[in-house]
Amino acid sequence: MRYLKPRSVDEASEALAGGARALAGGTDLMVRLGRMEDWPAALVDLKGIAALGGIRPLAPGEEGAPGDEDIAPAASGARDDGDGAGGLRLGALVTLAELKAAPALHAWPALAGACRVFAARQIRNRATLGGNLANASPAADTVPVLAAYGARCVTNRRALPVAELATGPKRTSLAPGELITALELPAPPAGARSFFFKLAPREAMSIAVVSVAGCLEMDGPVVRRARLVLGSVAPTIVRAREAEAVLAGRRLAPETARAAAAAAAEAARPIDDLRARASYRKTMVARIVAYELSRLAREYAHS
Amino acid sequence: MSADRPPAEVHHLDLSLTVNGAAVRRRVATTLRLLDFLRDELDLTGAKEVCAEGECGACTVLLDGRPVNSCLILAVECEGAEVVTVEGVDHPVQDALMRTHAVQCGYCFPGMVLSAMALVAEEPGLDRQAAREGLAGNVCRCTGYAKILDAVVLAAREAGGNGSGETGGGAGEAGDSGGAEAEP
Repeated sequence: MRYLKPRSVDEASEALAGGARALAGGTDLMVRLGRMEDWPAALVDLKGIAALGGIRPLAPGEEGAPGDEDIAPAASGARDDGDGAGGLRLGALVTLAELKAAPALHAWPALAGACRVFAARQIRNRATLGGNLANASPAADTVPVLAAYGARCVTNRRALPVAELATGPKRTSLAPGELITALELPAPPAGARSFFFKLAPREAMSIAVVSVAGCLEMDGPVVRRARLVLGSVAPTIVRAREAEAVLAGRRLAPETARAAAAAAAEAARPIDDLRARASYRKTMVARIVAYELSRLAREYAHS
Repeated sequence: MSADRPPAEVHHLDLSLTVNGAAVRRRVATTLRLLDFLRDELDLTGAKEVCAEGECGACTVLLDGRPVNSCLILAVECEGAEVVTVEGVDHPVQDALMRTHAVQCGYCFPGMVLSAMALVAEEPGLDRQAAREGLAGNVCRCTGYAKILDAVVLAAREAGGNGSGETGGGAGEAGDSGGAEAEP
């Protein structure tokens, strides 16, 4: 196995086009390689490419094309969770430890929550955001949250909504020679309320049995728009679009929460595996959505 | 499918790094893991292999000051890096672990010591919950977590003063939670 450590995206791209495997944090790749003793002919260590690191505010131009169609970035920065900051550009090589420690993350509490339950310290010190995405696990912790916030995945060739990168377990739409360079996290919408719920046997070091991420654009007690994303219940993460439609334009109340929960369960297409049965997963999608939305609804009960 | 592929050709690279403060140069296979490099090439057998997939933390070492699983890192990724194994450690957290009688079979301990050290350095004065979260990546098969957490809280409290260990009063509390305790 040849080990390459290029300094530029172009050099890395060339090596990847030639059939080399990309290495970032290695926390998933090394498990697979070690277990199968199936080393690739060449490995491209991306960690020498400075341009792939760092967390910084999104430049105005970068925010021009929204990551998804239906939640617009805040025009005025008026919202109740955040400090009026704009969006963020997260380099593909940003580790989970760096992200967890980033003060700017306060404006995206669900992503901060995902960082807290992401494996454990040793893994977070190595695992990268780009790797979590490129690994294309439907159980990845950061991906449903990034999708709920309408994040875009930027490669050396294009930008696409985070939810569109994975096409199945361990499969992505990345072309030969294409690599993720950054993630663009738009400013949370006005009145954003967000959550991430990970159902797992342990808080640390567990793979999600079911996860649900949500970002609701609130106008007082009324949901203007919502984005709900389910993890671990299909070959890729899935948007619960019917549930989002149930919420849009309605007052957030217990009945709305129940209706959205039932609709969300219908979006799940889980399988039986060693972590849980499909029927359990489907049930838990409904319970988690109902729990999170009811919790939010209680905050508006007297308004 | 993948098993039908012929094994990749073996390549070697020159590697220079610092291990426990000493400069090391070796020619290594590109497929060699940091864990095997330390154990087999340098005879530093403190780091242990248990799960080989980053779950248990027995292979924990410090890489540029941060705890990592050496089973998930290639030696060649460590060019120019600073690696610390338990053999290179002389830290108050070890003393605290002894004072609280935290060691049982000891297999998880090299990793536990390095994680605890990094944790105490990062969060002096941390509380028990922070210790549990901080050590979540180190599994003790003897399940002796209560005393391990006692030791880390004790060491953190002593480090949290002015770094000179002026608080001698911590030892009396060491056994205060000796009952059954779930994993951190």
